[in-house]
Amino acid sequence: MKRDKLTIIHDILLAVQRKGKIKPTHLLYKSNLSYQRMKEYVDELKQKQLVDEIEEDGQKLFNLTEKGYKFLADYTRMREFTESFGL
Amino acid sequence: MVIVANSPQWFLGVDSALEILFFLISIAIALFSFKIYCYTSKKRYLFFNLAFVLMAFSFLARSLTNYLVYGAIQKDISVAAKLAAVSNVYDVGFLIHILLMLTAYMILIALSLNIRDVRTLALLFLLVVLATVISTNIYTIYYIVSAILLSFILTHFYYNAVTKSSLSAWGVFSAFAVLLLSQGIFLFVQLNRYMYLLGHAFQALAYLILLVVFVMVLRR
Repeated sequence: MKRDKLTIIHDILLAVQRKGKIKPTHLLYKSNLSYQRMKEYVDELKQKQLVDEIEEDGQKLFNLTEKGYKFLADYTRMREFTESFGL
Repeated sequence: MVIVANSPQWFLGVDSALEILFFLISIAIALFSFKIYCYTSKKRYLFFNLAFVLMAFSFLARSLTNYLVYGAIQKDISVAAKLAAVSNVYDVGFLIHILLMLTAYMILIALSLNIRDVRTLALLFLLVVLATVISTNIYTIYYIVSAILLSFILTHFYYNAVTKSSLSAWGVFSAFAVLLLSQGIFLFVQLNRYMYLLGHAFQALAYLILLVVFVMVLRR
């Protein structure tokens, strides 16, 4: 089934939350997206300050920001809202 | 242009208060939709937010109009002076109310029926607004057009409720069904003064159902 944008954002942020800090390759596998689509999503999430990009031992990693945790906490409510109104 | 509310005396003012309640509920729903838009940047949520903002301000315009009109009616002046004072206020206020509400319904129609072509939307909007505004009986035509638009919106909520079969989806469907019923009742306001009261009662029930659904969503 085709995932909507809200679900994809949730899946990406959940993958980051579960690992704490996640490598781009691991995130690519977990998010189930093409490289290009994942890059677009991650850029958007960084711009919206939902994820942070950090560097550890020369390795690029992503972790969740405060706003990212807030999104995950609000996700069920947002999903229920969009489903109630058929959005 | 229109007949000032044919309503029981004691209800004048209560209607204004109810419209403020509808304003607040609509704003709450609009804000939540805007929050989802901020996370996703999906225009669908922005337009849904816009529809409820327009609904909210439509009720605010109606509430302020009624408040000003009832204030003028209760002043110790001649009937002619009262009529002169309320006529323009009521005409302008009601016109703002219907323009905002019809625009809100058109946005909900576009979202429900997945209309993406701007020209199609513009054509529908112009037909709906012009047919209503230039009509000689703007009050009746407005409620007929509202009922037609709401019945199309309702089909979307019905299919959504059947597909999702969740309590909140059925709640939204019920709220819009009751809202549609209230528009039908408002059509007969000029025949019986209790119709105005009954129409507001059904409208209040519709918004209370929406409020319950919204609270259910927030408590998840």
